[in-house]
Amino acid sequence: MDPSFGEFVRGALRLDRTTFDLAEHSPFGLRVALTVLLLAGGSETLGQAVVLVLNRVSKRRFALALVLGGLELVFEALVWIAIVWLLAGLFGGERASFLPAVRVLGLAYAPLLFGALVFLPYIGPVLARLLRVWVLLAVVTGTSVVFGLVPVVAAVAAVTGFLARWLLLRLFGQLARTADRWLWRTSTGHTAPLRPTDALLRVGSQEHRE
Amino acid sequence: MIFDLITTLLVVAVVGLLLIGLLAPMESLGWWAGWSGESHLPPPEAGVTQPKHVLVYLSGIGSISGDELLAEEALFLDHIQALLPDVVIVRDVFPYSVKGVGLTSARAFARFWQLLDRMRLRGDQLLSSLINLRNVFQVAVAADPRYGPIFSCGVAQVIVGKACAAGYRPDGPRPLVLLGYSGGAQVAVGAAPFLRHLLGARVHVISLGGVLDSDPGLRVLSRMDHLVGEHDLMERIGRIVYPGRWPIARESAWNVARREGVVRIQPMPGMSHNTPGGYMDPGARTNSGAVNPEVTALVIASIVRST
Repeated sequence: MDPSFGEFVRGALRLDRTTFDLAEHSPFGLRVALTVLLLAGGSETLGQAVVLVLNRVSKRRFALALVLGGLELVFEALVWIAIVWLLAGLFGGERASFLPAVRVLGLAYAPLLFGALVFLPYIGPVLARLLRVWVLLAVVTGTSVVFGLVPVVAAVAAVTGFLARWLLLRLFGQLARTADRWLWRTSTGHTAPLRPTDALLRVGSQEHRE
Repeated sequence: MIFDLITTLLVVAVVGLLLIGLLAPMESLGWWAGWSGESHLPPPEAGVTQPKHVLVYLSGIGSISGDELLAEEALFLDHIQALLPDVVIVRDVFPYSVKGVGLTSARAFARFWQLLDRMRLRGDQLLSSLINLRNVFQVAVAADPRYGPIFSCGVAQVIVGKACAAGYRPDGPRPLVLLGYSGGAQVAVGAAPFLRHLLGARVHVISLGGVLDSDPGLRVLSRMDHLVGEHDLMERIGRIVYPGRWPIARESAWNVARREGVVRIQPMPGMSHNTPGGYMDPGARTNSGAVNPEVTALVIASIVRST
């Protein structure tokens, strides 16, 4: 019997190899992985909601930003998964097909379900980094399971994939920035995000309240 | 059985703590977004021609409202007032609210805070420590680079309104002096850039056992005197939890301000943070035989006179 959504998530949070193995072969694995990614992206966007509030976006735009945050994470994860999938072959891993890799590595984003906690004052940004490290550890475990690699090699593949994704985004930085701006405009209706320090420039002037 | 009970209590405590933490920035964000009504900068009071020397007091995290200081805080300010009769001390700023609205004033949970206040007056320290916890999270909001500018923007407007109503004139010769006790020092430093912007005046902060971050606001201060009790554990916690205060962070605002002489440390021998033995404890005496609040007030008065 397949585990429930909650059991999949709890197993991924514990970095449990059996859970990742079940996700790889489960007929619901893809649905679970995509749900985790969408919810994690929404949660992470909620954790960074200060940018949305600072820009005084409407409730409708706020909700749209959460959905787009989820989709953005799906895209980000797919790029990473694709790179790891390509690298795993070079590192001598079993050539799994792409979909099982998505099922397993998508589930590895489960720690980001706590992304809303980034909203906490002062410790939020530290939590954001810790959650990303947790995701990296889960991706290493998942990579080890789905490609049959020993953990050290899986770690090298996952980290190399992470760096390659970062490099790709740098190389196509302009494209990424354009896409980011488009996402921002679509979700918030503002041309560019207002930063917290901009509050200083607005102080004393009341027109920003109109 | 007992283990289960302890586990349940721990889970409830952690969930409660997270909830309080997650709700902490909401007041500031709501104010900025205009969810909680407008906040306008009060104009300086007309008719006061003679500029006055003003000292704005920002209380510690035990504060519940600007209208209601703790007894030892009020007595301590009386000591300062006696030493500085020509200085107007503004006592009614509540520094843990972006709008300066006290917890027992017009708020959704005012009755809850009033209940805790009554419990505190009866000596119940456990539940009433929720007041301190709530205010600690507001200090975290003030120190957070994401929320801090919004929070400080609002608090600065409150301070400007109160200081100008007390007779402060930005074009006068005196700087605006803020006395921040404990977390109040963080609020004071965070508000400094906005006060500079609003008033165009110099801002001088006196930190009494301040638990404060290496805030960018330090860069605009004309001076900060940081009074540190020999046994002040809370101040030491601030030095540990804020990485910008570590000596290794050589280029942090705190360490640069220290090197440039903007931040001056003033040791307070034998004193701790709170009663007993605290800066304001009327029952504690220094080696010279004077009571602590008198000694602390003397140090603060001499600093204010030198500005």
